Amino acid sequence: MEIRPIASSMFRNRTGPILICLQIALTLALVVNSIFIIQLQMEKIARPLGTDIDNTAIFNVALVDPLDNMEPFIKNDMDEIRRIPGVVDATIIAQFLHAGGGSGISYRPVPETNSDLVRTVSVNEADEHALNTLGIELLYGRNFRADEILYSAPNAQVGPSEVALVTESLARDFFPDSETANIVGKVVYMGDVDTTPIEIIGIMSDVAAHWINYDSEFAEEAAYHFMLLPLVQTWNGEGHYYAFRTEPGTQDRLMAEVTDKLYEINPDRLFWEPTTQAEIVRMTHEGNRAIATILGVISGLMILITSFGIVGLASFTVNQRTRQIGTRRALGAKKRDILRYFLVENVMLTTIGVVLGSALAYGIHLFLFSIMHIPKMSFALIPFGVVVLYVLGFVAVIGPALRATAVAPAVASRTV
Amino acid sequence: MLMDSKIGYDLQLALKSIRKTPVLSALMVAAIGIGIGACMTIITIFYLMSANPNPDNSEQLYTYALHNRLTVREGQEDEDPRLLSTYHDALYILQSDIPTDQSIHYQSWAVYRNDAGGVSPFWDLFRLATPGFFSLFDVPFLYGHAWSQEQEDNKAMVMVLTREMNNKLFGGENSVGERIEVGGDFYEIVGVMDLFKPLPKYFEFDYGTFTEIEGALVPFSLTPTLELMKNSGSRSCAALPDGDDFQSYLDAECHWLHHWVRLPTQEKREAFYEMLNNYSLEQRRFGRFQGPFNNRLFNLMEWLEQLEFGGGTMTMLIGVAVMFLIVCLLNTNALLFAKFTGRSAEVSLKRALGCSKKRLFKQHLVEIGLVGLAGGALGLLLALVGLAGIKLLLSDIDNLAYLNTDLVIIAIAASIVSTLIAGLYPAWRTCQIAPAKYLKSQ
Amino acid sequence: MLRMKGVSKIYRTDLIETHALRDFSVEIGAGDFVAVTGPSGSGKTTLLNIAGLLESFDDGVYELDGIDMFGLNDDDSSEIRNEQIGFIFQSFNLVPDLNLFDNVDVPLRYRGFNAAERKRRIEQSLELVGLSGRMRHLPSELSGGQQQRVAIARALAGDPKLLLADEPTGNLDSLMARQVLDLLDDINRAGTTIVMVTHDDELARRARRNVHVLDGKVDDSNVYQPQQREHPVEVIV
Repeated sequence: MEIRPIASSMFRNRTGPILICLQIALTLALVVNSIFIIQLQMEKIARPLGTDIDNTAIFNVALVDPLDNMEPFIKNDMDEIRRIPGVVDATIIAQFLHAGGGSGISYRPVPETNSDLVRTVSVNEADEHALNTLGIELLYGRNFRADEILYSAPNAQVGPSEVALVTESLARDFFPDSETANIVGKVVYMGDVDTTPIEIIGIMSDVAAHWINYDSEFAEEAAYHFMLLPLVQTWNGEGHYYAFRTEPGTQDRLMAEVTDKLYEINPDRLFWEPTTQAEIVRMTHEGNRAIATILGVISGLMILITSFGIVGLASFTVNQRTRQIGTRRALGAKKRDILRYFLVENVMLTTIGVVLGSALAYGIHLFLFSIMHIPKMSFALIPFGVVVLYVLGFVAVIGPALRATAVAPAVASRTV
Repeated sequence: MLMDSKIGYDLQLALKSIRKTPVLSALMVAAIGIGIGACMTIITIFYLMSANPNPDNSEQLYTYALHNRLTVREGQEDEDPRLLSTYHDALYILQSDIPTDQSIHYQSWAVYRNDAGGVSPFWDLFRLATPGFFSLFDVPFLYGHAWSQEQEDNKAMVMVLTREMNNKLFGGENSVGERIEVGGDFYEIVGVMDLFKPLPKYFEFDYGTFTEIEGALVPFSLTPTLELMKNSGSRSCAALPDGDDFQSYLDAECHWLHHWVRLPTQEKREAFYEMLNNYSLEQRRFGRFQGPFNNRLFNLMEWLEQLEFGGGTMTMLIGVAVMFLIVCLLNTNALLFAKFTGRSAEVSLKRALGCSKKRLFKQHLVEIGLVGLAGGALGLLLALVGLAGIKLLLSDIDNLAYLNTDLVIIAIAASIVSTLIAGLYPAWRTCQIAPAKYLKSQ
Repeated sequence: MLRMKGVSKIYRTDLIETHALRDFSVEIGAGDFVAVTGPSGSGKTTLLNIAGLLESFDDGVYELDGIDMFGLNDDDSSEIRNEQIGFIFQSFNLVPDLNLFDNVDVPLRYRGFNAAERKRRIEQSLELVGLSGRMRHLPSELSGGQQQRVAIARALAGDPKLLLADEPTGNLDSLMARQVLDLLDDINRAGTTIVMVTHDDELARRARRNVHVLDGKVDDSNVYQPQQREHPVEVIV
């Protein structure tokens, strides 16, 4: 191995190698951090949300002329929808689930006011068909009864309810010292000062809070702190969200059928952007996908450009050193000796580059850690990036290196 | 005259030289183009997201956030105040004569009908605002004008249509004086807005920040009459309303109103802030504003900062783009270096024939500048491609993704400057070659 | 030790066929000091290249030390070049980025000697050419004559049986040329066979034997024949 002479030679013409080293370092640093961030985004997209995303659709419906008493009208709508073959169940719900936004209400597990046990909970309101419509499993206790659902007066708001359903995570968060099954029947209180007890009648399997993908410590801790309340609000100027669940594969057809049925019941209706839960989730994750795509594209381009740089420098070096290569061959170098020379040179360059790059990658990670809310990067990522760059360097340099081996020994005897 | 011909000659030389090494030159332009393209794509988004939407007035427009706490609890000192106002707080502040103009507004939904015009009923945004909305935000009018303060005080049933709403209801015609039915009531149209799309929509951060304003506007004084709940936006209550009806909601500790004021001078700003604090103190006797004070006053740019558009993520993306550009420049640097090294013989000859170092250096710079120009042009094209790609990824960025003149100039300038920087060392180094050094055989 | 019989070399391009060597025959014994002379374009460089296995030949027989050199694969010819043959080029061909030590080291690295052995040989070689004091210098810091001496040291470091020199004094002034020649004399007397291409009459005279090449063929072998009837130039020291 002619490491010392190769290093010596490279040092004497160090401009090109320095530039490539820097490119390799920057590329490693950027690719490693990009992969990390992309992983984070994919994790966020993959987080279980706890409801039947694929088979739920949501319509926002309003009457052109709202009735004074919407309650019987809404109940009739719901019954009709449920009767349609293929519809598993339907519920009226206060707002979209998993849309990135929602209601946050604070509750505390003790009656004392001004307690610091108050925490914010992601809340939605629906009727007693919610669990079945959204595909949420009831783990302990019972569901709402039909008579427990409170409908508001016309253009008014109703609440708070006397009962509530909470997720398992929320239940355990409220009462960490109790067996989960025993939390059924316990009470919580709204806000800082209200003393109306709200009884937990049932515990659901975990459903994602609307802040699940926010970048904050709170969002991570409270990711599945979700509560369902048996309320239906009828403010003017708002439509109502009808959610319904369909048998797999029938969603498109049934969305049309539900629309037809609702028009049949009352043609003076307005629909606002009928949508599916899958579409809502897709839109909520748009930002994550965008970041992943942008970083992926830039990383790919960077790798491409750096490889071009390596190829370019190697080609240039081979051209500049044609006479030298010929001389070495004349002096007895075999073709593989020449190949080895360029490969060793490339490995040395890459090594310096990845050492620099690893330090830079870690530094950048620390910086990102300070400005964004992200976890610490796994240690395996840097070695992975290092291997990628060695492979990249090899692939890039092999062409020019092979060309170098083709330089004829007779080149040495040519005069300038 | 002499200067002109010299520059022309330099340009000619530069072009010839670039053409002599077509592959190398193409690689250089490509590297710069890709780097600039990526940078411009991301910087365009950032620039348009954080650009001042109202530069003429941004110094004077303010919104406030009152730190209204009903209880005292540990850890509250660090909490931010709620960003929207309660109904009664807003009305109280509306009476103040410190600001020269004020706008209270919120958005809801309603059903619009124009049966006479043959338009079937549809649902859209419905806004309530004080007439200050139009003067404060410099809203342009296509037809007519805003309603008067007198009409506001009299709760007149008047309406201003947005451009988009006018298109939907009247096909874009001058509809001033027409009457339409909205939410069961009849309104007379007094004005039609022109295209009003400040980016971002700073005065309404909680709905469609980057879209054109939609719907129609009516006097804010109609709020208790129409009983329209704020829809699609942020509303948070510190305590439950005492009753179920709309009036209870208005009286409750619920924060849902946007409130902006114009404070043209520093004295006015200080006076206004003092007024807010005095009000807070006074409200303590009703059990409000407990705990430490943290009332805040934001001007437009401070407000945008507070809302943190993009935040850390944007910084990261910009950092990534810049790093990428640096790699591209290093690449170009290497290519330029290779190119100039390969020209040692030619430079040596030129020097032997009497070309001064300075002249040679200038010629090199012209050549590098040309490459930078070409790279910048390519970069702009690629940026357009990049922005089109971003549009595909993010549906609501549609309004942001265009290049205005400023950005085009920035792109070209950045390209030329960065290429020059990249090429500075090789260009200078080559001129240092001793005359005739490379002329004799090895 | 070197025997060529009927060797030819043809260069073909799309338009032209050049016969660099035609039916060339020569025999060189061990310990000989041969000057190959001839006008430029006569094929003497081609002859040297073929002798040194830098180029292949198209026809004829070439035996080096009794072994047939026709159709050798690249690895084998590289090995022979490395171990049996030493080269001195007209344009020195030193690696400009390496110091003298590393330059002489180049062929030794391909030989597989260990570090101690290489060091010994390099120091010995540079001592022989009188440059051991400047081992860490770069070629650019040396004069032409010194560079050529380093090239000689490099050629000798591997103890070759055959030394091939292409215009070894072509780029040197007369004083340095003479020093180089003296060196070659010493080497030859120590037993190394030397074949030297030159168009310099005086050099040719210093060799013990001349082979004149014209148009790719041997003009006259075993006969000393100055090819240009010019005033012999007396070198005054």
